Amino acid sequence: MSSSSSSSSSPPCPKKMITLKSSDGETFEIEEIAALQSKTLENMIDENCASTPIPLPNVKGKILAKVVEFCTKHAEAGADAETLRAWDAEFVGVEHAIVFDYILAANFLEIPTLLDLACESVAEMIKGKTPDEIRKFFNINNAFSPEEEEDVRRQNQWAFE
Amino acid sequence: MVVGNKLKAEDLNLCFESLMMVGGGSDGKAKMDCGVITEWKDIPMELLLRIMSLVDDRMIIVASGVCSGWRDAIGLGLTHLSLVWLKKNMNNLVLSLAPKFTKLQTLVLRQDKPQLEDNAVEAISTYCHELLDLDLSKSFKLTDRSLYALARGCPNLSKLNISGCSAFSDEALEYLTNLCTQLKILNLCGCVRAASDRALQAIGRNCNEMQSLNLGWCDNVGDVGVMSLAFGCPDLRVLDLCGCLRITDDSVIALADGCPHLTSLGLYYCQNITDKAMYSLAQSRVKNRPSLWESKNGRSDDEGLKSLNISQCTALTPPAVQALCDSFPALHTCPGRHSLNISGCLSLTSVHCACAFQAHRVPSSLPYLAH
Repeated sequence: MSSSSSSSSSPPCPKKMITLKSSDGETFEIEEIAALQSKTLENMIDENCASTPIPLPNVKGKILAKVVEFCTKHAEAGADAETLRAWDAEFVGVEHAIVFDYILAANFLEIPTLLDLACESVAEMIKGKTPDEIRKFFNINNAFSPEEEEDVRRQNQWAFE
Repeated sequence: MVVGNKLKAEDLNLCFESLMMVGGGSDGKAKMDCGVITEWKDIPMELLLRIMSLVDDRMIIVASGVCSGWRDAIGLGLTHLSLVWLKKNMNNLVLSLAPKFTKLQTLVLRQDKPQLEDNAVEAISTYCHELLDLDLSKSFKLTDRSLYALARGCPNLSKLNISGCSAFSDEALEYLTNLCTQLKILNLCGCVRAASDRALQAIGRNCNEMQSLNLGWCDNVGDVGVMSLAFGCPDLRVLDLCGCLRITDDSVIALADGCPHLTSLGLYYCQNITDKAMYSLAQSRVKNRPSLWESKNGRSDDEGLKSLNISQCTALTPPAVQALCDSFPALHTCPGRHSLNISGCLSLTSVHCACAFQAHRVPSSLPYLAH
């Protein structure tokens, strides 16, 4: 940090922008203060690696755009909890395939708030469903043998009797 | 828990470049794999478990039946399971789940209606070797077979609750203590046959890390057993001897001498207890009190006895119990913090903790000076 500012502990410069590059080559700008929501990015900023575009090979552009939106929103000062909660609910109120990508991205970038939000939304999707309903919902092909199928069926029966 | 290492730009660049070379599909790892995970069945284990931590145990069982990936992930990662909500099929379900959930550390199988049988406990002992905490309370149907199996299969047990399992014998319990030497918390409430002096001697010999022992209503317990405990388990903090009618002052004197960290003692209905026992506890405090320096600097949170139940111990007189109260500032008779239980002892109504005498609290940085 070659800044000649007078402060001894350097707080994040609010308007300083970081550039992120998605797996499919798109670039996104994010305010440093918003980027700090991600522990991964925070570490890189600390170590002064943030001067060039940061490549994020695990996150595609479509998702990275939303992640930037999330972090920016959560870094806003003066947002009241009620409004933020409503905003969050809308943010994850999308198809499960996208929530899946949010989970992976939040895990990769170490954004606990987004990871919690996305995981909770998946937990809600799962609750109350049978194994078969979960498979249909998430398009999972289970490829169980007949014995395994029978085992699951019995287990379920016992759990609900 | 969020998975991920401290990443450097160089690492990311390398990954970025190799992305095209690595094929798709994952093996369940969440780290810098660079293989692209696109399907729910391939969700990394840590992330699936994070979602599982947000649903109840019944849903976890359902989820483990969705596909082999989820079954294996949950099987490899699930450490806590409670089946207390099961009304009917606990035995069947344990038999079915034990081979899958081999990493269990805590398993709660407390029943209202006895369901669990020996074969289920044997299954647990066969597959769940990492078990640390097991609750089998009210498993009336279990026999010694279960204890023998647990001894052999779950040697790391630290916490075991077999209260109400009236069919266990002391021979089997002794066998268990020979192998499960790391037991710290053991609940034998109501295990009349199992909790004998012989078993307590075995505990004193083998389970030297014991901290909390519940022997409520085990009326075969006598001085020989408790004295062995006091000698062999110096770290004992909580001991419940309620209803252990046979014990006398000798037991309490041995505890006062051997267990300086005792914080909770239950002597309800132990009608052989006299003032001698009270004075021995009070005097042990003088011997064992942490130094002034330790108290001031927060080095010792050893307040001594915090809870004592001497209700129905009708041989006790006020001076002895008051001496006890004076030695242990954490014993309270005041309504808000009541921790000295003297109900049924009509002669002890004059005994009061320090709170009742003083208008203000003694500053906590000074040791409490016994009157």
